[in-house]
Amino acid sequence: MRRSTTGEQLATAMRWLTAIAVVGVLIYGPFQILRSGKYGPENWIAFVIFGLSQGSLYALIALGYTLVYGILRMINFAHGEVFMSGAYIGFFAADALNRAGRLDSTGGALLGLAVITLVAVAGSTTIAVLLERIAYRPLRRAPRLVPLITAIGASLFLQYTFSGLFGSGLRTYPTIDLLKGSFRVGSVPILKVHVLVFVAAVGLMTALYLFVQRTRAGRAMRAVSEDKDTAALMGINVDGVIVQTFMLGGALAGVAGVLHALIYGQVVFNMGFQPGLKAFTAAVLGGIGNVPGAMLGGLFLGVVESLGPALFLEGLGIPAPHQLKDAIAFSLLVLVLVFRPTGILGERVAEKRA
Amino acid sequence: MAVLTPYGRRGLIVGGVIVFLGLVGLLEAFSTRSIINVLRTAGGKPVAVTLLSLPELLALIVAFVAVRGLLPARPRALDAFGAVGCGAAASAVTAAFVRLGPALGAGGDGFELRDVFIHATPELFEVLGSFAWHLPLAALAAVAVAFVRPDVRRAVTAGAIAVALVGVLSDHVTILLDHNGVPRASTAWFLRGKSLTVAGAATLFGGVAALRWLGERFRPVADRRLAARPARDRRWLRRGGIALAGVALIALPRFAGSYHSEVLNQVGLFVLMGLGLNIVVGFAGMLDLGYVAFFALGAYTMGVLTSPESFLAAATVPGGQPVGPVGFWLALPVCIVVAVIAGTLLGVPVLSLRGDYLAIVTLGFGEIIRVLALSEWLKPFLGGSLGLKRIPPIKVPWLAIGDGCAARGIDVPLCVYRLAIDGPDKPQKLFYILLAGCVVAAFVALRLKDSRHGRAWMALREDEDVAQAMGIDLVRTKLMAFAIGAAFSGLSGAIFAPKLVSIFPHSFNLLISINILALIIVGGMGSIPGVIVGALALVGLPELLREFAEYRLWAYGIVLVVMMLYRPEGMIPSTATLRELRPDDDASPGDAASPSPAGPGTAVAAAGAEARA
Repeated sequence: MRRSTTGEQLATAMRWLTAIAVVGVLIYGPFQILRSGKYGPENWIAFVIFGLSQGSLYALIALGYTLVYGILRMINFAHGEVFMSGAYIGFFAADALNRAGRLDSTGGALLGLAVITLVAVAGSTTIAVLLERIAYRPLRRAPRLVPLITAIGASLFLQYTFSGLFGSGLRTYPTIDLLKGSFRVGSVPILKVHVLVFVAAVGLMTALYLFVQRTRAGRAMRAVSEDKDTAALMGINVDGVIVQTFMLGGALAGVAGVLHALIYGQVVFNMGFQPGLKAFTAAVLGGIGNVPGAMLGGLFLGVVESLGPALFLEGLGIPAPHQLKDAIAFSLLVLVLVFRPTGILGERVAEKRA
Repeated sequence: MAVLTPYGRRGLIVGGVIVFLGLVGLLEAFSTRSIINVLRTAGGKPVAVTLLSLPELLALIVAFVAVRGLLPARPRALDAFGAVGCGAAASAVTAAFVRLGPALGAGGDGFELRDVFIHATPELFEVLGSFAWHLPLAALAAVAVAFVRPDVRRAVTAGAIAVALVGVLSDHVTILLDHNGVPRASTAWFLRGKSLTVAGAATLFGGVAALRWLGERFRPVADRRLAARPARDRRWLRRGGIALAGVALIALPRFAGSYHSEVLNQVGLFVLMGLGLNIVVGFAGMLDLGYVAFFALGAYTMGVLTSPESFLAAATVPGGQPVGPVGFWLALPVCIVVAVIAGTLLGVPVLSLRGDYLAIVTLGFGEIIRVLALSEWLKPFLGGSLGLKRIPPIKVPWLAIGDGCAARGIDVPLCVYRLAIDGPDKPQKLFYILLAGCVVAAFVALRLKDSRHGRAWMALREDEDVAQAMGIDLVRTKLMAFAIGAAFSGLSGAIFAPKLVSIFPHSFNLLISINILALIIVGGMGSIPGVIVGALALVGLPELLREFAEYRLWAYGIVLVVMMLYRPEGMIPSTATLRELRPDDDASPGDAASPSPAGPGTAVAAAGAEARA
């Protein structure tokens, strides 16, 4: 047996200390806050519902990361910007429809939502495909850091292009009367928009899962993800499949963009960064490269982010814990990568591929 | 005829790109910058009229590069014809946009192009219209350049770059000349208003081109002569060169003045951080996107220790003695130590991660630090979003002596002292501190590079498994890189805090990390002179072009992508990186290698590598 070096011993010790500290917080925080009785059951349910709707957005974006990672083994860092472009381009459709007064009636609103979504999806898909064609394809054989740096560059470029073209201020999405308001289940109010987001996301994810598992194109995708060379020998058009993957990811991100805009009611050029990062975290949580994993990871992250500040931090006597929800998400990412790099379900991520 | 199709298509793309640059707002923002102007008489009075403006230059460069990329090494008549056609097509697209753009808003249905594209203003159409039909000139220039001998081509390029730079920055040149007491009358033939005169541009172009050509011509001779001298002479020559550079750097703030010293200080901060990140990314190959965390730690530690408003100033030690704020020099080592400890601690959990995961996790760390600094929770210690205020300026004892002597009317003999006598906390003084920091950091980095640790890092970068098999302690080597990188960044932060007097959490966002990464990549990963060149180009130049501020990050994005596609080894590559990035012996079979033929970018990169070989 190889003797471990001092450095390795230190690393192991640190790992244990972190684990103990985390477990301590996870037990002590909830214990304190539940004993204090500050939040009733309906509060917790409301947190979970909010978390689920936010999480389904993360999941939709995370699918884009996971699909691309599964095939190219690269992190498409600019995917958050694809999401942003969907929301932004959808805004112009929504604005035009709203000015024409087409969003007022129920039927018009439904049709309008479909049109907005289609325009947004067309926009985000185009951006995703262009991204692949211009920034990633020429670098497919390059060392690994190279496409990642390109992706960071593309992300900055897209953000500030949108800022330059359309202005750096917030743009307000028109409100759709159909989606306003909430209904009650028992004593818990549920926003209609949250229900729409959750249902749409789950529907799309199911469709995607079936597409990947059941169709010919999906099988080709899985084959390319297993082994590109062999897939090419079997007569699969590898480049075509890669473009399809980017299109799928872009389309899902476009839908997510519209849903995000429906919840928050506004778009801005840098809105893609945080959700993109969170969605990546979600993809890693679920096990990157794994389609059901991304869905599960997204929902899980959404709920943890929504529950976490109240459940874990408030009990520790931290004021305004909601400011720390991003810190919770990123800590979760670090903890997962350190203690269970495979994610909840899925393949190993810290594999030996330099 | 089929030969001409790509030219036509490229022309349409060029036109589209120029219109895009206009819609993004870049051309309009730059429209006041003139590079060359001429005198015309209007109403009996001579008026300076712009001959070449920066927007036009940008458009011409885009057209030039596009045509140049299409032209074969030995263009034939048909190619020349196609090139001009390409320029004409680009012009046609631009002119069509100028003609049709304003008409789009005149439909009367309440829709205007400006509602969507905020920069589609009348000014934009005016700017574009002023040079829309000049683009074939760039195509002609591209054809002409293809026929010239390579050495002449390089000389011409150098001259053109010099004219463009001086022309664009001519307002700064004027300020510098004024600061140094050069009378305006004596430079009027060269600079008029805010741009070069035709005579000035021609002189500058001719001078720089001739120097470049002569330099290239006689460099081998000089090198041979030098090699023939005994080693002792060469060593003295080297030392003399270093001494000369040192004197020039020490005298620099005297000639740069207050504003330009401030710019140099900004560059200095980024050189310091760049040198640190270069160790982590360039030497050890670990992509750290959370590097700003250590910068923030250094700055906040300095703030907490030295500001009279920090919680420490009010605290007392158990004995009842007040802790009180300490001075800069006492706090400095603490800042560095804190950064080193943080670097080590943050390094431990990510030891087993590689490549892109490491990047994302470190990015997460950076964000966590920022969120914590911003939070209500730590507000009593770090000030929340209000930040830390009243951080005292740095006091350097011997510079203070200079001040004291000047106050008493004593002539201080040493030039350093004299240079520093300019009030108590002028940027000129800070320059010396940053210079000292950069020199120490560069020296440490240089020595580390060729040391046992440096070689261990490079081995790690090439192949972790093989490095471990060769007996390299991975944990120690990695932590060492993180710790030293963090030390440089902490030092930079410690100087940053008193420079700004107040520090806020939003000064420490991800974009700083990306800024540093970009400057390393532009300079060349693993290359120490590259860091300095990168910082000058990516930090110094945007500081001088104030109206560019809005487009700075946009340009960084383009720079990152273009560098990765066409010149991944950077401007001043280190030899090891060059070897690694040659596409032909790319040693990563485990990577996602595509069976399809490589794209055009790879071909260009390969051609570039051959040309350099």
